[in-house]
Amino acid sequence: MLTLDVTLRGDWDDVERVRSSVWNCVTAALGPFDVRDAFAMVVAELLENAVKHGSSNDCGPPRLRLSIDPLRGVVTVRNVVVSDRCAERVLRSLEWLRGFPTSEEAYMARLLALAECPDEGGSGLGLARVAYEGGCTLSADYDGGVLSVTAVMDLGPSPATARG
Amino acid sequence: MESLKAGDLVIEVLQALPPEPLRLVWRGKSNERNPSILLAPFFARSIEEASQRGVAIEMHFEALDHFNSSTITALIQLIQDARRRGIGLVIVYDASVKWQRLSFEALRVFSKGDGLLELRARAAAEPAA
Repeated sequence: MLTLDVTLRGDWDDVERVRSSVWNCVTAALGPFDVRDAFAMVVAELLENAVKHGSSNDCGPPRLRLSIDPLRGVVTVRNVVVSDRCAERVLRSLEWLRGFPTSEEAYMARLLALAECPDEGGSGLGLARVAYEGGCTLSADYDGGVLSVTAVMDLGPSPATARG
Repeated sequence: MESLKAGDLVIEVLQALPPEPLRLVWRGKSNERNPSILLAPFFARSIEEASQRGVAIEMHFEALDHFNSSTITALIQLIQDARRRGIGLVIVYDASVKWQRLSFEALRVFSKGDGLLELRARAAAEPAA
């Protein structure tokens, strides 16, 4: 129903350009439902992470792939990271999220943790938000210096029913 | 106190005589890489202004299209700072918009018995206070 495959330059301003483009594309494909906000947010949060922690050299600009069919949407952001530590932080964040019974509890725990340590870099709040607000299941793969983060959003029988 | 205009974001300051709160109306999008650089000094001025007037701060997000998680981090800091100064903070959002409902309802985790943080849901059709 909708497929996007975009390789970005890695500039921060491109995140908003792509976010608003995704919002418009999802609106055109599915209609003016809340799910368009969710897809736009998921894309923006994953791209922000990629631009912040990824390599912007010629071999590693972030690549976004988005596909939406009647049953689910899949967002994957792939980028070369500047260090193993960046990828390990993402993998740890996802493991941490999986330790909670619900994504809402994980998100709230992240909010409270940030209140305790506001200067914490790479806070993981964006990933927690993707899981909670976007209703997504997250997974990641790290191989050869390339990190791929995938968010899967179940849409149910039709996108309209996913508007909540 | 002047409104904040930065990139895609405008926070309009609406000042009225006490006991009316200091109203801050968010419009557009908060998508800066490090929004705290802009927001933290603005929030500090807002807290100072509210303290001098002896009023609460009322932040309206109904007209905001999008904010990133770094903005949420800045808001958490505002909630903490306002509470430390004993300043009431009211957050008004559009409950008919799913992302706003989810984002702002989660902030109830910072509500305590002191009544200094109020989360106020408003449907889009309701007139502003």
